[in-house]
Amino acid sequence: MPSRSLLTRRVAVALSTCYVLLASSACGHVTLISPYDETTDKGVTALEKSISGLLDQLDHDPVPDYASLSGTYDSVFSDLASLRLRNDARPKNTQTVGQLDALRKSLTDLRQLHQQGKLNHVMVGPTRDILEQNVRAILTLELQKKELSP
Amino acid sequence: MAFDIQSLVSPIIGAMKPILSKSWSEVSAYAQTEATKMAQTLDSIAELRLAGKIDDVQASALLDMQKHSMQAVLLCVEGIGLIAAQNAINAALDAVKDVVNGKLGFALL
Repeated sequence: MPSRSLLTRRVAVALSTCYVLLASSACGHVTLISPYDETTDKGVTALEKSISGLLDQLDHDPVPDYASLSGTYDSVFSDLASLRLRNDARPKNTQTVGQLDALRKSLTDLRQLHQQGKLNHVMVGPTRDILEQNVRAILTLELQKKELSP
Repeated sequence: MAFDIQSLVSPIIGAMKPILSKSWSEVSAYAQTEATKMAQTLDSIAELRLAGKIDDVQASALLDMQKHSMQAVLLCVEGIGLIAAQNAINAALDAVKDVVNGKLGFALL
């Protein structure tokens, strides 16, 4: 019959081995951010076209009244909401969700300005630059996930 | 000690360095470009206000939109950093996998 101390040591080794085996089954590669998603890539590209279309309609002097474009705004927000829902469901994707939220805030600001009659023609140019920058940031991150994958 | 630690450090650094260098060059070019565009937009907003073509409320609204956009740009930079860190860690693990697993006698990595 082995001594008590030998038995204790053997149990300790067995437990350590079990722990390492359990840990190693989850080991392997590390994931810090969600991988590239083609649907998001295509969705953001399509959203960019919708936003550009809205801005083209706004780019007149005077700017068309809000009522004539409320359907266009609704469509843009609907597409954005769908993209956000998809990306919120992807794990380790807080950056893209944050970017989509930033875009939603800017579009909300734009809509409110328009609803209040405070949107004039000269503002459309800077607005386009700002929204394009936001969309470009979303696309850049998604494409970097594709490009920088080993 | 199970390993000669220094003999593991060199392949780890060797695996990580090109990944981090490549990511830094990508992100710094992007950040520079977007910072320039941001500066140009802020200049446009200021010019419109000074020319009286927009009022304070309109200028503030445009500035708010620019802030949201800046947030999106910085989130992109953060994301690229995470991709780089992820790839660097995984490359480091791959670089020492055979040595570590060989020593332990089973596939820890």
